[in-house]
Amino acid sequence: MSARLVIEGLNAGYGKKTVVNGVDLVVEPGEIVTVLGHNGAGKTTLLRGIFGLIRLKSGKVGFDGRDITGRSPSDNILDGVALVPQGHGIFRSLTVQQNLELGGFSVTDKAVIAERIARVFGLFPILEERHRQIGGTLSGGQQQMLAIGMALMSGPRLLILDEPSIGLAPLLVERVMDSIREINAELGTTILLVEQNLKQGLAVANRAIVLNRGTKLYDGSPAELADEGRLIAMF
Amino acid sequence: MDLFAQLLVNGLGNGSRYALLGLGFGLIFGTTRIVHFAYGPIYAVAAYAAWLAASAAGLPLAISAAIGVAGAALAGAAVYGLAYRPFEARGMSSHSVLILSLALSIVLDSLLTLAFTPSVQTIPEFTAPIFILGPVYVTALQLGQIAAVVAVAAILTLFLRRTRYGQAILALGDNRDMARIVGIDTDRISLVVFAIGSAVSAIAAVFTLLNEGATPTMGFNPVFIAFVVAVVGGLGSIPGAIAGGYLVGLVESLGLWKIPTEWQNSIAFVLLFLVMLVRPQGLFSGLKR
Repeated sequence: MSARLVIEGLNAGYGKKTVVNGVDLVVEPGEIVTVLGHNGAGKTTLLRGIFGLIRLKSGKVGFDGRDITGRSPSDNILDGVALVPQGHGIFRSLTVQQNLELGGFSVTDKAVIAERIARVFGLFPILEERHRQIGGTLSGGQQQMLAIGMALMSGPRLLILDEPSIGLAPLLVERVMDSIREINAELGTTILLVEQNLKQGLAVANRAIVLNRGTKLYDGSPAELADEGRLIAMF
Repeated sequence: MDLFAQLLVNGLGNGSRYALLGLGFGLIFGTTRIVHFAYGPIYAVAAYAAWLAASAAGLPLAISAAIGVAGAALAGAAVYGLAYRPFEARGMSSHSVLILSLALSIVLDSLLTLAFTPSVQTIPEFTAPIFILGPVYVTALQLGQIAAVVAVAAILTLFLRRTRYGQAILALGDNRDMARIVGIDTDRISLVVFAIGSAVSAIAAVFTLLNEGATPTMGFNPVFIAFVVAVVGGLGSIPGAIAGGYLVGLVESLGLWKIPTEWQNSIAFVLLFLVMLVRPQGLFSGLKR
């Protein structure tokens, strides 16, 4: 079986500035891979480059054996890649139901949309209770659940999450991380997760990557990285 | 009292035209965040397309009006695709796009003057029936404008709430980045929004053609009125644009009762100033389309 995601020599940035510098990465089907790093290490740029939100300066992105380098987000969604952006990626003026329907914008079959909404409600029952509520009026944790639910609406094989714990209370962070494990275990979705919360990011991962100033510093076991001395050396 | 009633009727007629202008402008700005000053010349394009169809080709009025609307939709989409979009794709700031929009407006006005001369073009055989209702005169055009607002608002509301494209437009107006992330082709949706917004303004333009005739600069005032209406009502809100349109139309018309006519063009901007002071987000901001 081919790897789910293969990144070779990815260079990306904004204008003349290169933020991610020659990163190689392989993610196998069913894995949860956490990308760690300081602010400005290039984590978000890496994800946006993979998903096609920014143009790569060079490098290749492969998904399930196909070259998806430079493809648009709408094409990537159709292929089976979804992104949960940083900072509650929802439509704040629309209802929970409308947000979920828009999450499934690439899906034309109404029965499939209904089935996936039911699945999201199964995963996050609070969203069903509040399906008529305007997204921007939900609590931070509920907005994050909605953002994850929206990404699941396209039925992705690879789910990319950019700091889903940011700004959440510790209990809610646990709930979000549990839902990531659940999505991975029950739906078989491969997860590429960027996290600043080291403890939670390492606890949920099968493998950890550390980025520093746009280059890959570590790629291996989360348990080894969790060793205090090593963490101090890395950060 | 008779004068007041007549000014009220006139205000409702003008307000309907302003509401249409505000609906189109608000839809474009609320969705794409482009301050589309070239909306004015596109408005004039609609009037000239209808005028050519009716006068040169001798087509029936309804078909000529439809040609005006279609012409504006095409011109609006072309302006986005050929002018604004390339600027956006290069990552130009919204200020640069604003300057482009002003420049485009001036160039298109000049092209219209070259093509049609500055003279007023009218449809000679057309006269609107007039009805006498007690102390006031009501023209068929005024009634038509009110009916047009009702029809356009109903169609737009259904389109935005019930169709896939409508949902995509709402999404784009809320958060452009997220719209791309869920797989919406934001360029295509922007193009559609420019076509629809221009088509809505074209309905007002056809009424102006029938009422006053067409001139190359006939869109100059309407673009500012559209801006005032959309901002006063709350950008991107359908009820807001309608309320804003009627408010501006009525205040402008009733203002003539006590204020000298030379102030008429300033009334809308005084209203804008007052609303901005009291409710900067617009009267209907926060209400959904």
